[in-house]
Amino acid sequence: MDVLTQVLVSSVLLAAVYYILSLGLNIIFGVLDIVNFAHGAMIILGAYATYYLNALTGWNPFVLVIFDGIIVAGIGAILYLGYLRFTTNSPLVRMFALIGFSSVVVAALLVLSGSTFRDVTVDYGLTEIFGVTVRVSQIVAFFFAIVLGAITLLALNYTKVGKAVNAVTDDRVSVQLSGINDRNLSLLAFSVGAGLAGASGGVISSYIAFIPESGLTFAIVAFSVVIIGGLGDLKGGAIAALIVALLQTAVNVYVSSALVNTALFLTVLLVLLFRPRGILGKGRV
Amino acid sequence: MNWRHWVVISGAVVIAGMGIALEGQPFWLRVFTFAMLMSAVAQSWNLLAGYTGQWSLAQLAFFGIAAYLAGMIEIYTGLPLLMGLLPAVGLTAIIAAFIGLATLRLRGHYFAVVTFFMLAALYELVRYFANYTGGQYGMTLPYVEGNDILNLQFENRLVYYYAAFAVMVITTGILWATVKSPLGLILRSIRDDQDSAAALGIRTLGTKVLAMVISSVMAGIAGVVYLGWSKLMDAETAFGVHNSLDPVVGGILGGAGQLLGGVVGQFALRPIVATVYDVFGSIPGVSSLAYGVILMLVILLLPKGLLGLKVAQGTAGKVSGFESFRDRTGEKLKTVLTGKKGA
Repeated sequence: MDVLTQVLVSSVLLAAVYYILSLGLNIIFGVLDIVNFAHGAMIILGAYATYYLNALTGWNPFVLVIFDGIIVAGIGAILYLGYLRFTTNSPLVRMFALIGFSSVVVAALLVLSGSTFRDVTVDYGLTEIFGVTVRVSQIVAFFFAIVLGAITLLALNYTKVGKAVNAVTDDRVSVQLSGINDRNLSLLAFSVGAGLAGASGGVISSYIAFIPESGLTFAIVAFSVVIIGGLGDLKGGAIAALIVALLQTAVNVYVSSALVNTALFLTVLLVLLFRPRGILGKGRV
Repeated sequence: MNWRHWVVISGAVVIAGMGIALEGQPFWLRVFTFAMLMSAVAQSWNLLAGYTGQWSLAQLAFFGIAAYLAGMIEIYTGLPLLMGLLPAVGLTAIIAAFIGLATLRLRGHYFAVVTFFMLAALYELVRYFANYTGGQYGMTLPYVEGNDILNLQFENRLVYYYAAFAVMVITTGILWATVKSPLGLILRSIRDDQDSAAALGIRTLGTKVLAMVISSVMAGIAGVVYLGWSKLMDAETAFGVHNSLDPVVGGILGGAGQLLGGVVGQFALRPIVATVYDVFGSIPGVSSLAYGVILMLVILLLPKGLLGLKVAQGTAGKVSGFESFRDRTGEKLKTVLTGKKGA
């Protein structure tokens, strides 16, 4: 089996999931200007929602993705309405507030569920793509991610609210001047971003076992995708997702699995220094 | 000398005397020794974040880098810890200069995000080079019988309390000297408006790097003394995300941009965390829960920290945390109800 084909196939399968991991982060940053440091916590909340709902109903994790999204969107809305709104209106201060929330979530999950790996992965057997053996569940997750990403992009580009979200990302002041209530939009964007994080956590839980701290790994991936793609640039994000997936897989295979985050750190630093608007140059600074 | 000086001096005397009072209670002696070492790191974070406006998440990394370097110097050259302090902290300062040159070009949350990535990378690197750093088991220094001041080895744990006290006083002294000097003024001008500062001819990048170097020296001294005290340093202690929050939470709790912010914050934070750990220690994640809740509450109720609260009381007479919270809430509510002004 050709190692290069293996790297390419698994990167493409990963990239779609990485893309939806980053969507929520990107939308929240675009509308609220906040770097959501609780993103990893929201992803892992989605994964644990699958775990508990699965234990309760016995349904397939793929069916539960939509419920994960709704639950975490609700938690996001409560967090925004009940807490974030009352904090000092400064992106940095709110960023630290979200770091606090992230600690609370991870710790609460640790207390509730302990640090044993929770496994709700579905086993559909194995198959071959271009001579590379992959799990069928991973392919299903790939298609789920594509569908979720497509729905999000369509909603952003073809609905009135979605257009408003795009507009705020581009130019908040003009939006306010044209009479759109950008505060309601902030609430909407925050809960939708949280919901997307939760749903992507649900997708991930279908083929990876997780512990409360796993959110950190996913958060690092999501941050890399958003920064390399350009903040607020969803198209650049798609290319960045592929880059991050390729980089991770290649470092994993050719160098060492223990240096993946170091490679991401260097890449992110270089992108921020030399291409601060992201890979397509269309993100915000 | 005004009343503030007397408060600070009497506070220092109380802390110094507390060591003797705590001699029979190893748990609390350990808590407050750690509090003083951590307040040095929180003060170094205070210099970079509170006074220069560069909100780093990786300040504890300098503490860890200096400790690892001092430990490796002792292991590989046989130079005792106290003699290794100078080269270790010096190397840390050089590393900080390079890190600063690369990262401090970024602003605001971009800088914070990159420091977050840096933590993840450092954590990995320490484990990758396990041959030199001890990897996941951490780096342990050989235990030597008896007292050896050069190795920071004392049978009586009380000595470490006063060593930590000295570290706290020295780092706060460095912070004070920096902040009161013309450099301090320049740092604050960068914090308040970097573009205007640059327009006035201030070399902002170089100044920010200098601030990071000074802060790395402060954190580095604490790191070496910590290593002498615990004889153990591992990746989680130095670069773990949870532990890296410690100086940040302490700094915000005490008051970022307040001369004693880090010290007050750590002395408020550590007993709480220690008590929580003492009571619920068997349940994993509870101390982390305490950090998160404290950070969320402080940002909501005391955005200027405990010292900011005191200053507000001194000037305005009766503005407490809750009142200012109520005022802000009222203001926000008004805007919600009338639909004016963005949240």
